[in-house]
Amino acid sequence: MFDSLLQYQFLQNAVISAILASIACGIIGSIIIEKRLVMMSGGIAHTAFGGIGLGYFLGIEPIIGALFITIFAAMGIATIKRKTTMNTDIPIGIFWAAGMSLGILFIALTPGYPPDMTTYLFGDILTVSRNNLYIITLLDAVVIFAVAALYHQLKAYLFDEEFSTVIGIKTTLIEYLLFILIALTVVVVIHVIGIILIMALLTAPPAIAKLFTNNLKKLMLTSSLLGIFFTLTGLWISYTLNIPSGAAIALFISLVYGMVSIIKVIMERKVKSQQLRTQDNDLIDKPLP
Amino acid sequence: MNRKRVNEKLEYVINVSNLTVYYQKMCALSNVNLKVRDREFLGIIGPNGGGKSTLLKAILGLISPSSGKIEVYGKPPAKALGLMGYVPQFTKFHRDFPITVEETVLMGRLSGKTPLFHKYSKTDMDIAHSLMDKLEIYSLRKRQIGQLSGGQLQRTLIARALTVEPKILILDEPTASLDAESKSHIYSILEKLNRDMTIIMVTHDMNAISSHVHSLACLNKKLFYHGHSELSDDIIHQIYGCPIDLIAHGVPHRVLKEHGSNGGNSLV
Ligand SMILES: Nc1ncnc2c1ncn2[C@@H]1O[C@H](COP(=O)(O)OP(=O)(O)OP(=O)(O)O)[C@@H](O)[C@H]1O
Ligand SMILES: [Mg+2]
Repeated sequence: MFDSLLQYQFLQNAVISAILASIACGIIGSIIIEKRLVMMSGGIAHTAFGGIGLGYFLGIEPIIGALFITIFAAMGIATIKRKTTMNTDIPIGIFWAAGMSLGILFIALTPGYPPDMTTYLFGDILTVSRNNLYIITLLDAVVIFAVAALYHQLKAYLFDEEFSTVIGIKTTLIEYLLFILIALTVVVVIHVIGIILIMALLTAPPAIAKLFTNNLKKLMLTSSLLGIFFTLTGLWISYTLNIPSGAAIALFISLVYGMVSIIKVIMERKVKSQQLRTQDNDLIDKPLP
Repeated sequence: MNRKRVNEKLEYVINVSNLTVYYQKMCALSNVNLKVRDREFLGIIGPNGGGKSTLLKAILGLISPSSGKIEVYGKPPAKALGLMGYVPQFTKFHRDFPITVEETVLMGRLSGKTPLFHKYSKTDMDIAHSLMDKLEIYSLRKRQIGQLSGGQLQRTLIARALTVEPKILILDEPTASLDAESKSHIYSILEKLNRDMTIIMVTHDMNAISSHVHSLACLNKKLFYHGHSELSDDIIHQIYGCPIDLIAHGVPHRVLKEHGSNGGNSLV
């Protein structure tokens, strides 16, 4: 694979886009698991399918169509979250279904032979074009820049919205910005892993990284690195076994996540039994240093 | 110094007039009028569900009134952000959030004016450290917030509210989960702070009211009383609708005057 990597442009594009997608997912994924926005992000991701359809229908780059529709959906979902006290799972579920259906509708309305949508649903990292790569790089830069620039304000908002509002942080603005960043991340990831599999790359790396750190910045960093490891390994599996990249990456992520979870349970049990044995040594009620 | 002169002219730092708050169809506060002077130490008491937290949130600008007006330093609460520090009754954050005690306390140094790519300054650090010291949580500063006891968390939140260096400090049952020693320690801190800030505190702790609080507001949907922190039996009866002994029980300097010796307190 390494020889081919030097040789083929499409493989280089694949590797670069995998790295970029992992970085965006590491940062935004850490945020959405801490802010409990997984379901909302899923809703935003699936509206992207409507955008892809719109792109085909209008004859523009599908990913640009996805960009507009996901931003639009993100603003809608953020507004619903802010304005209603009802359970937001319901409107999100409807966004989810409506977004997918719009995609199908637009494709049906598009004249000519229908395009193959599995690329967008399940990802095909080997089809990332130069143009796509430029768009992905730009969006990735926006995500990294925004989170770095507003890191402290964002952290305060994520941790305690009420207190942040009281001290004057513009929480409404930050919330809308965050939802736009989620939309951008979705667009970055579509080619790498596909709309349906996005949630794996968004949630599993930070969930694993959380076992190792109690610091938000390190959580983002570790998640990004884990993401790179997952996507590149998945890409290699997909290339050598000749299976679709999105599925290879998602399955590899799930496998590792499952293994880590099992190890964690075993470790916890071990620690617990050790503590029981050394209870007399005051291990549990150790005084503060 | 300029500000001081402005305050004196204003006289009242908080002015709540005809405040009514509804949650959907439920009326939590009805026609409340309350004025708070600069550097007043106001205690708010009242039964559960009396609307104490609601009043604080309205003053903080966290919920908007159904009718009536609130002014903080002559401005609506949304324009007075950053002037108030807040210790909530219930925390809504997730205890597993990746943040340490120190980072939580430092959060109070942020404001609407915090620039992009902000870094905490040496002053920020010093303020946070000295407050953690004062509240005896300095040794816990590297702990993740979920690894604290209820009382330790409470002290962290008080420290966070103080790092704001607010003009008005608003506390909603700040001593609810503290042991007796911590309680009196925190009251003595508050008393010192009160020399240069206004404090509003919701509490069920009648000890505190007798010995630390200057003025008292009694809230049960309506504001029943606002004035000196000595109460007549009548008023207490009206507010709680329960035998006064329950409230007066164990109070060292008897808060409640004997029936009939009402020294000029009036119903508002
Ligand atoms: N978010 C909410 N939605 C609907 N009703 C609410 C909400 N918050 C408070 N209430 C209602 O408003 C009334 C006042 O509540 P509030 O929390 O202000 O009382 P409180 O005086 O602080 O009580 P406690 O001593 O128990 O803290 C209560 O009857 C409560 O049920
Ligand atoms: Mg309350």
